[in-house]
Amino acid sequence: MTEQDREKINDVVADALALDADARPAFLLRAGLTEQELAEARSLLSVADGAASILDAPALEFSKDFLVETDTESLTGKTIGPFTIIRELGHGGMGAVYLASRKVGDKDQLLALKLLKREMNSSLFRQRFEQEREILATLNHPNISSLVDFGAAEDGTPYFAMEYVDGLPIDEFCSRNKYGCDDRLSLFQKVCSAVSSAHRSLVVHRDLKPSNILVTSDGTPKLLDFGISKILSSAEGQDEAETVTRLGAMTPGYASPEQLNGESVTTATDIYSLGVILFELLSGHRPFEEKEKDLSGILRAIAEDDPPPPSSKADTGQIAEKRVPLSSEDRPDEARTLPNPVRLETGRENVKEKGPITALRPQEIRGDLDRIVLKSLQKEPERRYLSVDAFSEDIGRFREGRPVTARPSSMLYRTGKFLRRNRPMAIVGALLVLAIIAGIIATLWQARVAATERARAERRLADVRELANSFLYEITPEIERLPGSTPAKVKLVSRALEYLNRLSADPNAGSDPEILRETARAYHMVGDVQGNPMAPNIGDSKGAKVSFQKALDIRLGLLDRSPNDVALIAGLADDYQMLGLLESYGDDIEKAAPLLDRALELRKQVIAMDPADFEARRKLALTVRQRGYIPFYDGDNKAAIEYYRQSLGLFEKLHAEQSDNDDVALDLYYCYVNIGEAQGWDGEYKTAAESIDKGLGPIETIAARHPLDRTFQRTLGLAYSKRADSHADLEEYDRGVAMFGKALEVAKKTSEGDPTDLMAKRDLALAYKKLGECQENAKQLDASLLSIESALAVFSELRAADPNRAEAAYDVANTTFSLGMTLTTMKRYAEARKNLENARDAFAEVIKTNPANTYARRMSAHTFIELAKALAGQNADKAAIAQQWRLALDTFDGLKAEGKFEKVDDVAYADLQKKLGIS
Amino acid sequence: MSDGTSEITQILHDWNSGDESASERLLPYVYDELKRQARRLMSRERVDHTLQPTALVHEAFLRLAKQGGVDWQNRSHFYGIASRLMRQVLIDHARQHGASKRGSAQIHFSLDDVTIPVETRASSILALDEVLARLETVDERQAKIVEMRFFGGLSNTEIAEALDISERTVLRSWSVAKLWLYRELTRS
Repeated sequence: MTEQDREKINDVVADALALDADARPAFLLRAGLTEQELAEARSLLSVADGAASILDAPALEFSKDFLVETDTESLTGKTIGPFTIIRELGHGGMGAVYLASRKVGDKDQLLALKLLKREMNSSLFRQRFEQEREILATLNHPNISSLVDFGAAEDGTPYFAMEYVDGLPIDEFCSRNKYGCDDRLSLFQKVCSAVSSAHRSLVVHRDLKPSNILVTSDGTPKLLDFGISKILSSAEGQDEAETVTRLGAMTPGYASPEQLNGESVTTATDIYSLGVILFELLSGHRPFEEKEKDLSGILRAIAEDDPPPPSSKADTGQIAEKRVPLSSEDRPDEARTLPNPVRLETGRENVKEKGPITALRPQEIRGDLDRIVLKSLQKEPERRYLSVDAFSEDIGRFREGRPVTARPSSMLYRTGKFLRRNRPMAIVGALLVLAIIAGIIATLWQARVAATERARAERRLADVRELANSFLYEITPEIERLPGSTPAKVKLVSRALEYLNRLSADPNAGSDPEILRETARAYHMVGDVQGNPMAPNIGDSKGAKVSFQKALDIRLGLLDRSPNDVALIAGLADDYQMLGLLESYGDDIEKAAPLLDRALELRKQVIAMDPADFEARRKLALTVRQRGYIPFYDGDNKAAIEYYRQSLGLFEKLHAEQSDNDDVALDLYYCYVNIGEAQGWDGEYKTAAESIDKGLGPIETIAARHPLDRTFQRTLGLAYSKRADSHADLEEYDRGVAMFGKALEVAKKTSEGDPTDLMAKRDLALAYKKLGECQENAKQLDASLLSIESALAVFSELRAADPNRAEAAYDVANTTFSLGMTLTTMKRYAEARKNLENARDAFAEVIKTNPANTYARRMSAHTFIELAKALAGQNADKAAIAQQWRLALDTFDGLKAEGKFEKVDDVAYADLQKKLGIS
Repeated sequence: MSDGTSEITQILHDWNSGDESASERLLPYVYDELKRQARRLMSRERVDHTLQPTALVHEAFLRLAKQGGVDWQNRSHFYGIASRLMRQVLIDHARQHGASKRGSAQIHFSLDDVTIPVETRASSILALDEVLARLETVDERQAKIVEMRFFGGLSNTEIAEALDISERTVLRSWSVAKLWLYRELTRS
């Protein structure tokens, strides 16, 4: 065949490869090839499937195993005692295992021969080596590779021979044979029976892992390598070899916490390792696999972290693509350097089929299997299964559909224990519980299909109730006010949403009012964490709105069926209240009032049904106060004060009933602060200061009783800040600076306690800004500039974190304005002008989004006035300056026309008129 | 290697100034360098386990060029040579590992085959080498592309540059070459 012919065939074949296999024959016929060329092209294309994936890995990657120089001389072909070494099967710390043969009659018997490494041939290691042999001799179980012979080589190196197991590691075996759940469990139970038999002989294996459990082609698992096993009766402390090899010998991914801590090793250690293996057989991963990259990481994880339920690690795809490219470092020890000999023997078809390690789907594992595995992985040995038999029996129960002993109550127990021991750890506990609830619920819906599963399903439903209640009512409040809990809440929220969305997607969920009720409640809680403006939140106001709305919709649906359900009505009131509050913080304050009014109506309805309901009355008082924010934000201070006073009256009654209720007391006294604030805006500075002083003292006292409570501390900081405002209004600037300093201290502490709490961050920014403004008035200009710059930095950060909150844009505009003002005062006109122009544009942007924003309009008027000052400082021409005045006056006039002009602006307005020659 | 530095410099100068025979004289040095680096990579802790053969060849090039102290233009030419040498390195190692070409009709060159015993892999490499040598006589360019891509770890772009053909041609030739090799390897 000539080169041209070759070229032609290549072209045609390459084109054909681009086509579907079906289309190729016809294509070849039309390609104009000679008979000979056609035959060659067909021949090449016939192997297209097989050839597709070859040579994809670079040769170097493929060859790395045999590139490694072996420094030990090869024993292949040598004779040791009656054995002829065929090849090395693998090597561990002390010895190497070889495939060897010996003549038995006229037959060759294959055996695994373990030789102590020559350099290890000291009394210490020899003793250890012989111990292993003795251990093997005592074990006699069909699933344990048995001792066949032992002796010493001519040079004195001890050896022993074991049954040679022609099989695959258990995980690989399951994958290759596409074992389902039940097959895997059955196989695992056989392993348990081998381990249990060893335990009865007082032997603990201590290095259980898939590469030490080979499964032969007929499905018989064989336990290998008792190299670091231990006889329980041998006295502690005498076992020197143990201390020498402890860390080096075991496999971190499968080691138990007590093993890593060097604590006494019992049968519970093997139970833990078996748990890891079961985890892996089910999910295709080890519990802390991602931490195995470095030793310290995995050690810490095993000692401290809660293992995830295996279902959470299982991939959702049909086949869990696992560790194919990762594999070489995936197993931390000799598992990898031990190229399993057996794979050679098993023949090419097996080798060829070797694909990714498969695992089960998460839904197959969720529920009881998760619990069984987690029980075996408990940190404290005494909390695991009492014996391998008990472990195996529980698996048996699961396989038969009977209730298992691994109960969720142990979770609850653990959670409780965490709460007592360490509050932040409770967060982790809560997450765990939540994950489990999610798992159980999902399983529950699936389980409903089969009637035989009915009993199990009902039991699970009860579990869900118990756990959900514990999560919603016990754990969440525990972490609610804890400093630093916000990141945990973010996790909580995403997990919760995942679970809720799954639940609401399920058609069966719609039929169960009980579950709908819980779903609504959970949505509301999630909304709280996302963006309840009255509590520490993660600043996701948009997400919060969606969650509250979902809760609202579900509850409205339920209300149709039970219109007189108090809890439902109270819940609806909560939903409306939150939605109203969020709107009042958003850019369309008009939307807020009807929502809050509806909340008030519902609250009154609840109280009418049960006048003694303290909580309902407290919530009413609170909602009334919040209703006052709307006129306050809208510039109607009188109307706001009316709501505040009404709220104050309600809180006073509540306080009289429960004088030791600090929440009520705090809200009561804060009403005075609200009233004072509104009075201040109305220009009644003296009255304002008096009102705030009525509240401030008691608030200080109450807050001091709760130094770690974020809500109490925040309220204190706000009260300081409002009092400082009134100092400033009364032109008591030095006292104002001192008071703002106090507010800043509180805000700093709260914000540092949880840098992810955006509300605390906003308080901090506000404190900086107000301090800076007061410092300017107190003629502390440099300090002022610094404070305002700090404020602007924090506000900008906040805007980036939650761009959906209109308030954030307003804050940045407002602070930019302040910065410009201070710079004008400092006669740094050019910088001042630049900042003021920025502020002007920012306000325009805010007003464009919400033309009803009275504040922004006022402030933009003031920005024009300040711009005029800066321009005058730069000796700009009179017309340009007058233009700014005109813009300011027009803005004020616009407000006047709508009856939204603020009294505080009287002076500025008169001044503008004078300057522009208007009277 | 340091002994050879001045020698390398001379060779590189010669090559750079158009003496093609210089490349042959360079081979032993490149070979040593590749082997040294391959071993260094292999013995490295398993933190960064994925080998980058391309990087290896690049690195070898840079080191040698640096040692030669010349601004070397023949980069793509070097890649071709380096690929051939990598092939040589790997074949030598495979032989050292006691692999034989017999009994290795099965080939396993995809990463899915990580669990294949070393012996089988080594045999596979030897078998491939033999079949590739035959391909050289049938279609030299295809064989070159396989050598550069599989042994040299070069990208299609680099191969296209080195052989002065389009990337599309590289890809097409590569897929046909795989068919040819696979057929020959599996032919009993």
